[in-house]
Amino acid sequence: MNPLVGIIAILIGGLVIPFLYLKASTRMPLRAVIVPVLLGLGLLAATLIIQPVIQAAPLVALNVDRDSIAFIAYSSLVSGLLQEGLKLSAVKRYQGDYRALWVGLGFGGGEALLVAYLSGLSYYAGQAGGAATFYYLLSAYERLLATTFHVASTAILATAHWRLYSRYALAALLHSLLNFTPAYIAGGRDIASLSIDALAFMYAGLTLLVIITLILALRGVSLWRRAGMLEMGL
Amino acid sequence: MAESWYVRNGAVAGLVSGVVTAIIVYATLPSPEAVIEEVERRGMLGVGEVSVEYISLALKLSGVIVAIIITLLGVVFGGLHEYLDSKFKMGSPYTAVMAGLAFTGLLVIPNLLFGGDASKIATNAFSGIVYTVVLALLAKYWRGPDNLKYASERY
Repeated sequence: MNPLVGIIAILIGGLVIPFLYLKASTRMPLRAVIVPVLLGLGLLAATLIIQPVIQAAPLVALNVDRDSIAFIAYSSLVSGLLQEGLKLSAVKRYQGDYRALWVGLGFGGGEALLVAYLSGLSYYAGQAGGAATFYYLLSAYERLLATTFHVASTAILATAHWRLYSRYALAALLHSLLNFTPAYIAGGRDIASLSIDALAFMYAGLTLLVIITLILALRGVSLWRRAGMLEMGL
Repeated sequence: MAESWYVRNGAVAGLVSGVVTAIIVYATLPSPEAVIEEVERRGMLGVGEVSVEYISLALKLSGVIVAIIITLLGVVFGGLHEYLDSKFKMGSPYTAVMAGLAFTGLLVIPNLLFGGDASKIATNAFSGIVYTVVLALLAKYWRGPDNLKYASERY
């Protein structure tokens, strides 16, 4: 199938569906979500600059093997701590406010745009060949999971007034596990070369982690609603 | 659109700095072969096999991407300016300079740490200076009310 279908699938999974869902569930006017979405996109831009530097430090300083489990664990932990930390700094201005969720959408949607851009580059440079429909559906599903995770983890941070840093640690740990799972299973190999069992195991793990994050996020929102202290959804 | 004039000013300063940087990037574009050589020399993380066609296409779009990234970073550092202004009571132009220096540090320090070439470091430093100057000027001459219409609304 044409690789452009894959790019469209990535955008639908990682951007369009989460946007429509969030728009319908928060019922916020577009003018109110522009700044949070831009902040989310800006945090992603900052991540793209800072994260590779920290992740590459042991490669340069200690000359470690980049396929070793220790390095995969380290880079997953760095991405979790850094990305959730950056989100936390932005979400502080939206504590208990639905706009916080749009910061997560900006971050996750930005990632989907980036993946689509890189896929588009490969396609127009003649590097990308066609793939089976299954892989396009899989990449759309993966982006949907990623954006859902970013929105949910932002909700966890935005509803944590008292235990802010323990919630941050929790969100960072979940994020790290989410990054570690596919990197560990794939072990540096291309996704198309993995067996169907390995793929099923990988996506089951990712889905489970996103469901856990979603449950924690919804629990946080409902606890605050019950306490009558949250503007969210009132 | 902005919730506060800080974020609005950050976006405008980021846009100005991004456009200036894009012009420099297009004026000093390296050849695709030189980029591939650089990538291989540094063994960059996450960069696999890339063709000359891929790199030349990426180079053609690089100025636009740089402008977008710097504008988005400008929004974030506009938010930082707001935070610094609420924390330190020293006048908005001064806190704008602090936010601008942080912005410059973000662009320059990774290149310094990994031995980026001097022209790239100079370009990034110049982008940071442009951002800092524009943000400070806007903080002095284009302030808004502390809370714009949507800032106090809750959702």
